[in-house]
Amino acid sequence: MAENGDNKDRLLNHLYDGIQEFDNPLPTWWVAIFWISIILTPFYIIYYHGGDGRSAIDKYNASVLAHFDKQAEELLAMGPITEGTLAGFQTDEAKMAGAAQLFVSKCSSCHGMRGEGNIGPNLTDEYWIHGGRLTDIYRTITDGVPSKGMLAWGKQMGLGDILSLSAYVGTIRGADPSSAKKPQGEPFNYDLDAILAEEAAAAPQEPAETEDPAAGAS
Amino acid sequence: MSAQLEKFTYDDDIVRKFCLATVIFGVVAFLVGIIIAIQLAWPELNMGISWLTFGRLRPLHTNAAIFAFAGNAIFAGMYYSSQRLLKARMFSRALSLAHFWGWQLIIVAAAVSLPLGITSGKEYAELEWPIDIAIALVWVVFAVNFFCTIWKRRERHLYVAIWFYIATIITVAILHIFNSLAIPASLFKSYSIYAGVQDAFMQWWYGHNAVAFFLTTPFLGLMYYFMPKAANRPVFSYRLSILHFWSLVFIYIWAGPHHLHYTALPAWASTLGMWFSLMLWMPSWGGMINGLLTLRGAWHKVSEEPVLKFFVVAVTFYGMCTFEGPLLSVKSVNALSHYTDWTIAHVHGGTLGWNGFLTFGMLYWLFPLLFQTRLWSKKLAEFHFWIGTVGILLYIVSMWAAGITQGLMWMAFDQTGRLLYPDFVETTLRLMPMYWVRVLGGILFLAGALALVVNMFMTWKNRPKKYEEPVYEAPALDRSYQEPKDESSPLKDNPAHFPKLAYKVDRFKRAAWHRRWEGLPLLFSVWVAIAVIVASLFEIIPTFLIKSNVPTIESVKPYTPLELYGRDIYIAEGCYNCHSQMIRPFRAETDRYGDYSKPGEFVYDHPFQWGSRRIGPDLQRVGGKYPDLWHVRHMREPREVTPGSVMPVYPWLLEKDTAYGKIQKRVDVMAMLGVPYGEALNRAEIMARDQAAEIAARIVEQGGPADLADKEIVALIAYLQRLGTDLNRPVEPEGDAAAEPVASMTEEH
Repeated sequence: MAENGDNKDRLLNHLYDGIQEFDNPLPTWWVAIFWISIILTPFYIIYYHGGDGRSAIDKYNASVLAHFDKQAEELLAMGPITEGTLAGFQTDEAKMAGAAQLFVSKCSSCHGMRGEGNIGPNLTDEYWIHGGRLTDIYRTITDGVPSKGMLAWGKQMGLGDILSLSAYVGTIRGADPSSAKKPQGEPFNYDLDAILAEEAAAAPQEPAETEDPAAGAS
Repeated sequence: MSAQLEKFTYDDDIVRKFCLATVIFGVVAFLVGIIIAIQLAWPELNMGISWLTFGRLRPLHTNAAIFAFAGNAIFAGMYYSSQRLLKARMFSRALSLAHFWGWQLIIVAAAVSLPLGITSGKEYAELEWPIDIAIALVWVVFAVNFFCTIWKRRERHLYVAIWFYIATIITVAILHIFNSLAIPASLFKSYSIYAGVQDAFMQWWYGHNAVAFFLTTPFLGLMYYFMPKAANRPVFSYRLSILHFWSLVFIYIWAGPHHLHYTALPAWASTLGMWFSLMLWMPSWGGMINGLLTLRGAWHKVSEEPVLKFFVVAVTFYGMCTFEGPLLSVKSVNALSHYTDWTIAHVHGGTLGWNGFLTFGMLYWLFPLLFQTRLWSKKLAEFHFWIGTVGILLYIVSMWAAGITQGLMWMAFDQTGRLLYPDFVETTLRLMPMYWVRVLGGILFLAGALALVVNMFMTWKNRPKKYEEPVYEAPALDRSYQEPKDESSPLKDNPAHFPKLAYKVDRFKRAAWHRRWEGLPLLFSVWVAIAVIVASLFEIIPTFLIKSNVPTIESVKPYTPLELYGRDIYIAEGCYNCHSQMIRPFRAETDRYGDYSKPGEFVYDHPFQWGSRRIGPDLQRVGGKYPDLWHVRHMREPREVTPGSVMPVYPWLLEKDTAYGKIQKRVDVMAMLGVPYGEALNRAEIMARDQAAEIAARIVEQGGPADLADKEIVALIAYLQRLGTDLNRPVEPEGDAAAEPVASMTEEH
């Protein structure tokens, strides 16, 4: 359908309220692209609907597994959950930066942007309702306090994230932000060395007292 | 052939009426658009007044822009051009007036009911059932008037503009009726007969084709009349008209599912939607080519004639948007663009640029003819053109930037594989400068429209005392006419002999067969209807009949009566305008919101509430995410719990009483639609009161205000806390489940 000089701009004998029409051919590029758009997509369909691993869900599952593998490796390298391991996290800057963001997105709506307390209790003071050790905090986050509206985050977050968060909550202790909520629970004087000594004394009983993080991650 | 001449006149009064309505509702639509644009950047403008909140005004804006502004513009142009193209006065003045006043009453009903929260909750089809019926009736009046005018015509063949009008009238009727099917629970409340995946499919079959057959085909028809008239040039290619008309009508219908990529809609439908969207590119561009190339030899006029300037920019925007559309329908592009302002940029390129500017050009061309005097100020029209163009560009560019920015932020991970912006509001705050640029763009566009108002008024003031009504003459159609055989094959000029088949192929290629159809409006209309219906059924039938599209999830149960009522509040407040309920299978989404959405989760959702834009976060799995008290405080003052949030305040939810008396009827209607309600069929109200008391008690326990049990907020919380929680709920033993299908749901959160 090439444009040739002969039938270019030949007027048809159509006339509607003064409007006329040319008998021009369809532009070649227009026809070509139209055909390409018709022909090309079946190949796309055959590819994406034609085999395992290519659908949106398959790709999603693969991406989740890849991420899970990465987390599992970290967790296995970490060993059992003790006050010592969690306290160790507090010196890992990358982990704490990530946890700080998690705190903002998951915790701040109830505990305030800086842990000053809101619907939920103040996390920056010396008073704890469900225990002030890092392992206590870990347990509270994991199991929640359903009667008070604190969710069981163990069902909603990966274990690695919960561990980092538990350690992070320990770091804002004593921050004394403005507009802090009044204390709730029992006063608790956090003494890491004493807890570590206690853990060391209990160590021979291992592994009965500790949890296997890999098992908990499933 | 008897050539007795008949005398006739044209009804321009009805055109003047529709023009006036176009201009008035245009200003209203643009103004409401600016208000809601400011609300997104400065939520205080919601002012704590229910009927002024974004969720209720946004449907008012879209309905006003599409059905009031564009609708009246279409009617004005169609009534003006059809009479002249058919050489016949409109069939019935009474029907014309019934169409005009009926349509304006519908608009007024919409303008009252939408801010009051009376809505069916389906985008661009929000109007409740009594108004839906009125729309159908007025549309029939319009159709009868139009087709009878065609029947009475004195022009044998239908011009391409009329083809597009026919496609518009037939298809809009089909779309409107089948998408709006619902069962009323009261005068102002109904439930869509479709649920979940099927409702989503029908809604976007409608929504996409409202764009196609309300904002595209009628405007192409207008373009085919007003552009060659204003430029005084022949249309570039008749053959292109034929091909792009039929391909557009057939292909457009299939493309709806591209609005639902990566959702719970079955993948085959989404892929079909993408394919047909890509195929749609050239048929759309056929219109643009025919428009722009019609101006060959008249480009010098564009520089001095504002009407042509408007047309050129309109057609250019049409070309841009119909390229952007197929681009956005590609799944991997859509993964980024969906739920963002990129979509908003896309539709405003179409509505402001294509529909708006084509309408303005048409109006400036019509005013001197309708008011029978010269246009008051060509300079002011020039001003309108330039300020409007700058306005559109500011609008679109800022929304492109906002959409791509937010889309990328949602998807960003840090090195440890965690979301880089886990806090949703962070991605909202980043958009604020762009939102203010949009406001500025909108104000410039409105300023242009106000210049149009002044120009129209002043032109009208200079009208003659009495309008002249020229009398035209033409012979009546000879009903025994036979289309002459097409003898003009170029093959004949060639000395070589061709087989018969060659002539047939040549005749088909030159579209010579089409000329006969153009003389047979009934045949033509039937073929349009067939094209549209066949294309629709190809997707509708499998969507409804193939069971595996929506695998049953045993743990998914109907909403409790209170939750159902809360859901109605969610719909009435227009929450779906800012919150999706559809998590796509990307880790960036499942990390943020929870498990991706499964088709079986929505089987009791009449109507579906998947949403199309995330101004706020997805809510599909918000159930159990926050304590009840959090929701109370969040609804009262969102910024108290989420600093920087742009959500409106909803203080009246803590004050308005739940209408317990209405709940039983609503449950009954749901049961009629096939929702297995069991016990709730007899004691919905008691169940609702019990559940409300429980939630209210929990709020008090968490330290919140007392006496909320009878307030709407508790019903809404009941619904929100239920959302998305069924998926992983353990299935109860058979016997219990049958006896008590809904009562157990409140226990878990």
